[in-house]
Order: sequence, then structure tokens, then C-alpha cells
Amino acid sequence: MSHLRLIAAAALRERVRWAREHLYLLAVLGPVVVGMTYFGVGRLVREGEWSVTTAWAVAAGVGAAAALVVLGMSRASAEIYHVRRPESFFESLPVETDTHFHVALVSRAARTLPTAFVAVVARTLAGVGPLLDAALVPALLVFVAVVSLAEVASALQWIHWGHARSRSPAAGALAFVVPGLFVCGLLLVVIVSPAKLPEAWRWAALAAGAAWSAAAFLLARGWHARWRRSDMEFARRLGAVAGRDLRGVGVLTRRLNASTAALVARDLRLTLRRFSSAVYVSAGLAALILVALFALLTTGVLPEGEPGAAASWLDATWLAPVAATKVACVLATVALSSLAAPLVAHELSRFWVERAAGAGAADVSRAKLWYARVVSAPAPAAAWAAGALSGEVPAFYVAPLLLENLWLWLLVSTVVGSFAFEIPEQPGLALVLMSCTGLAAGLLVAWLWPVGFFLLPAIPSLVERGAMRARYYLIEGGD
Amino acid sequence: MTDWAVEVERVVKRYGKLTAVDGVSLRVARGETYALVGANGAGKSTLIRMMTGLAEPDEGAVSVCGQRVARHNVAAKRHLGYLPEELYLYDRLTGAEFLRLVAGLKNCDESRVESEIEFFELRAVADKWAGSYSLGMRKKLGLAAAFVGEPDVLVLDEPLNGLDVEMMRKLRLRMREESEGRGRAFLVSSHVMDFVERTSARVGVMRRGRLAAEGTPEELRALVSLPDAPFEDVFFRLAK
Repeated sequence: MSHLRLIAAAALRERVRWAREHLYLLAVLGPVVVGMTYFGVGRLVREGEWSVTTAWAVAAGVGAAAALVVLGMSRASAEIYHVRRPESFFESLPVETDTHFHVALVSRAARTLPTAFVAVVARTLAGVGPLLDAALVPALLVFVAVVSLAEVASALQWIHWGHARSRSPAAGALAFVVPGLFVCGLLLVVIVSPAKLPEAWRWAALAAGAAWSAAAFLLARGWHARWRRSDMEFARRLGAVAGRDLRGVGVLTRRLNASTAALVARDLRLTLRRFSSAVYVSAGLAALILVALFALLTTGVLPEGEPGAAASWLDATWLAPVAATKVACVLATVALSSLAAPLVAHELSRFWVERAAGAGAADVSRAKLWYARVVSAPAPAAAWAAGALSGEVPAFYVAPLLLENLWLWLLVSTVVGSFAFEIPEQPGLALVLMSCTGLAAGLLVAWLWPVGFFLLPAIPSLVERGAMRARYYLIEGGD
Repeated sequence: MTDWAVEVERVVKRYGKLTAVDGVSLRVARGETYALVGANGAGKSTLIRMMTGLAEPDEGAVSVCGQRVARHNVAAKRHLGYLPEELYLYDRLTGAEFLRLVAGLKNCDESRVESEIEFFELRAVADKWAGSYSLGMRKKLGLAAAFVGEPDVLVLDEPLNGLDVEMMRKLRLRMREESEGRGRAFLVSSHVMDFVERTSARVGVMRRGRLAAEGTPEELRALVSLPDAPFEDVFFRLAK
């Protein structure tokens, strides 16, 4: 216990000192992002006349819980096995195996707390209840416990499966984690929108969460004790072996100068080699959006337009299938291009490469802009293909729809990419910022494509701002 | 109590198809300084990671002061002080805070921290954040952390990188004093052959995961018939 206290106190002291150094981020940028969300998304939620069914609410909760757990797996495994972290020194000290497990768990719980806070804010935005409500505390505590344990258990299994490649334990673990995600999704609904669930379900979700947490703690602790020594070396060397390489990087980056091209090629390679579990989440989310689009277009859910509504191709832009395709294009582009946020967070500690190579701030910033464009490039084509293949888009509008999608992709990915260096130490906040601005710009242009021409003059200022932020991290080291 | 501070018995470590350490056995006596040398990729650091319990051998066993590392991991580590080749520090903890944390985790007296700060000439920077330290200062801090708690065995992986000449000399003299006076064992991996020859009672030369040669510096010289050549030449002959 005293070892756990010592290590946790050291980590806490470092976080507090970090916070003192980043008052601008915490006192200015954070509130700006929260404020933007409040006045944008919050207003939409409050004033919108739409409401989701219980099944959709639970599905969204489970999806959010799964995304949270998958996003946290990379960091959880680094925390458990101390990969390239200060705690790696403690591996050679007489510290009990359980202490390492408890430290990782405490660290995960501390990182999940802000997510729980976001859920409470979302509840307030939806006008469900006040920000401070003592009745919420049990649900929040169980939610934090379930998410932290699911992250730790999944990370342990992920590393062990990578090392041992034994299928049956991995399948068993998956069968254990999936119900946890379901419970977690239910708990999210209990916190954000309790009226969606009957009273008995709310209590059942709490009880199931507590029971799952207790079982997960015992199981994960056992796995950790059994596998730590054999898996540690594998976790340390994970990613040391070169994986697949990109073909045609040269073609993609031919128009760029040598420095920017080299940086974009490096970033694309890192993505292909899954620098973070965020890569899975982004790709999965984009795929889900496109599948949902195809389902919407082919199941007749969308409202039918009046006969002759699309007599000219100018009118066709507002047809429901066309609008759905464009919205899906915007959503998928945002999902993919906002990978720039975790990428910059990942690269921040290795920024000496850019410094030593003398890369200019403009090149560094432009590289992230091009990264956002290249990585999201499949989105417009895939959304267009879904629209065209469904047969719901009028034949005469198939080609203009592709042009509209490309226009949306260019604008959205440029806006998102230019924010890459805005809050790199806090990829979670950066994701919110990128998504809000990207979605706002994209949906506006999807509604009326010529609006994009009015947004164009703002792009150079955004790019310049991005270069200025990149210069700060190049010169100051961000610290 | 066994006379051996470190016992390595036919350890093997594989990474996929690559055998990084291939059936190595060696012993380091109490009070002895043993140097492990070899070209990059010869398997020194992997062997050291197995000795310190940071990696698990696929075959064979390692004991520290009679405690099997695989079975009594924590008990074995109570006897160990380790300087890793790559040292990650809390950027926003001071050097003194880091050393006090290490002392706490080793369950030893914090008063030793002050004497290590003095010895490794860290007084002027002890209250500054470790993130601002130069390579040499980071190395000194790592060495101080290894020495805190007066362990029976010190395993130092590349201890000289970044150290100035004066500190190299101080370290060499301290190692001699502690091995001869207090019976402390040292296992050092280094590429500085002059340091290796002057500090070590025995030297093990690793080549492609195997222990290619072992003996006192004089025995190794005799082995390659280079009695008066610099020790670097002896190393090249044995390690290549």
C-alpha cells in the first residue's frame, strides 16, 4: 500500500505541476471548447424536435463505451507495462506485481473521471437535470469502475493475445468484456437520460455494473499476475518490428516540398502501423457511418420528395438521399481527419526529430494539413459510391454529387487539419474542437455548397494560426 | 548463503526466429566486478534485462544472491541496484524528489539520498526538474538511484555515456572501494575498454548471443596472443 501511495503521489505531483504550466489551456482553451459545444451542440439538443428511442439510446451508449475502451487500450497497456514511461525504473525495484496493477488501475480511473464529467455535462445540456446531483454519484462511480477495468482487462488480453496467439482464452475474455460494455452503455443512459429506462432497469444496471466490476477486478488481477513477466518484453518491443509499408507515398506527396513530403509519409506510415488504438476507432466509426448511410438509402427510411421535385440538378442537391450522402461524407471525413489530434499527441515527445532536422513551422503545420486530407480521402469516394450504388440518387446527379463530396472533403479536412497543433497535450479536447468546427463548416456547405466559397477566405488565417502553434511547439518544446 | 552474487544458468531468450541470448552461463562472485562486453546487438542488454527480472528467459534460470529471479522476483530485487541503458524520468519531479521516491520504494533510509547527491555532484541541480537535466546529469541521477539503498549487486548498463572524465574516475574508484571493502558485486556493460580493463576482475565477451570468451583481462590477452596491445584490440579479436 505504501508503494502504491508513493507512486501515485509522484504521478499526481507531476500532473499538478503540468496543470500549473498549462493554465492557458485549462483556463482559456478548455472553456472555449466547452462553450462552443454548449452553444452549438447543446442548443441543437435542447431545441430540436427529435427524440431517440430507448433502443437507440442504449445502442449509442454501448457504442460510446466501446469507443472509450478501445481508445484507452494503447495508453492502458503503456501504463500497465510502463512502456517508455518513468515508472519503468520501478520494474527493477522490489515492488510487488499487484502494486503495478493497482497503479495502472488508479491511473485509468483518474483518466476516466473527466469522461464521467462530460456525461454529466451532456445530461445538463439535454435539460435532464442539474450539474450537481448527489443521486448520480453511485452511477458515476460504477461507470468509472467499469470503464477503467474494461480498459485494463482489454489491454492485458490484447498484449497477451499478441504474444501468445492462443485463441480460446482471448475468445473467453472477449465474451467477458462485451457484457461489460453493454452494462457501461446502460450506465451512460442512466447518467445522461435516465427517463429512457424504467426504474427497475436503472437499479439493475447499477447492480450489474458493480458485480461486473468485482468480477473484472479479480480476473484482470489474476491475468496480470500470471502474464506480467512473460508479456512485459513483448509490450516493450511492440511496434519495434516494421509492419506493412505504404506503396505510392511518393505519388501522394509529389506536389509537396521535400520536408513536408517526408513528414506526411512518416505520419501515414505511423497510421498504417496503428500508432494508437485511436486508429481503429476512427476507421471503425467511418465504416459505421458509411454502412448506416447505405442502410438508410436502401431501407426507405428517408422521406420521399414530391414528384418532380428534382427536375433540375440545382434542386437535386436538397433531395433526401443526396443530403444524406453529403452528411455521411462530412461525418466520415471528420472521423478520419481528426486522427491528426492523437497523432500530434503521440509525436509530441519525439519532436526533436523535426527540431534537429530543421523543419520549418510552416512545413510541420502543412504536413498535418495534408495528413488530414490524405487520411480522409477515401470518405468522399466511399460515401458517393454508397449513394450511387443504392440507386436512390437520380442518375443525372451522380456526377455532381461526387464533385460536391470532394468539395466537402477538401473544406472539412482542411479546417480539421489546421487545428492539429491547437491543444496537442489534450487530444480529447482537441478532438472535440476539431469535430465541432469541422462539422459546423461541413454541414453548412452540405446544405448549400456555394457557402464554401465564403468560407475559403478564412482558410489562410486558420493555416497561419496552425503554423504559429506549430512554431510554439518547435521552439518552446510545448513545455 | 551462496558465495555467488549472480548466477546465470544456460539462459536462452528468443524473439521470434531471432535467438538474442543462446545458452549463456556465468557467475559473479560477491565483491567481484564483472564486465560484459560485445558489439551492438550481441545480447548484453537482453541478458542484463533477464538478470534484473525485466525479461523472462525462455530457458534456463537466473539467481541473485541465492534467490531465483523467476520464483522470488521481489526478494531478488531487494539485493539489486540497476542503471538501465535508457532512463525515463518524471520531467516535472526534481532530482531529489525522484531519489527520495526510489529510496521509499526500496524501503531504505532517506538519509542515503543526500550522500548520493553529494557524491554524484547533483547538489546544484537537485531541486530542479529532471526534465531540464542534460544527458550527463540524467546519467548521474540514474547512477545515484542505483546506489541508493546499498544493494548487494549493482548492474550498470552503459554507465559512462554522458559522464565527464572526473566523474568516470570517481565512479571507477568507488566501484573498487565498494567491491573490495564491502563485498559488493558489480556487473557492468560498457564499450569503454580502458574502463573495463581497469575496473573488472573478469570480462565476458558476448558474440551473437553467446558468451564467446571469459576470463581476467590478462587471460583474454593471452588467449589472443596480444600481451601489450590496447585492450580494444583484444576486444576486436574476440568479439568479431
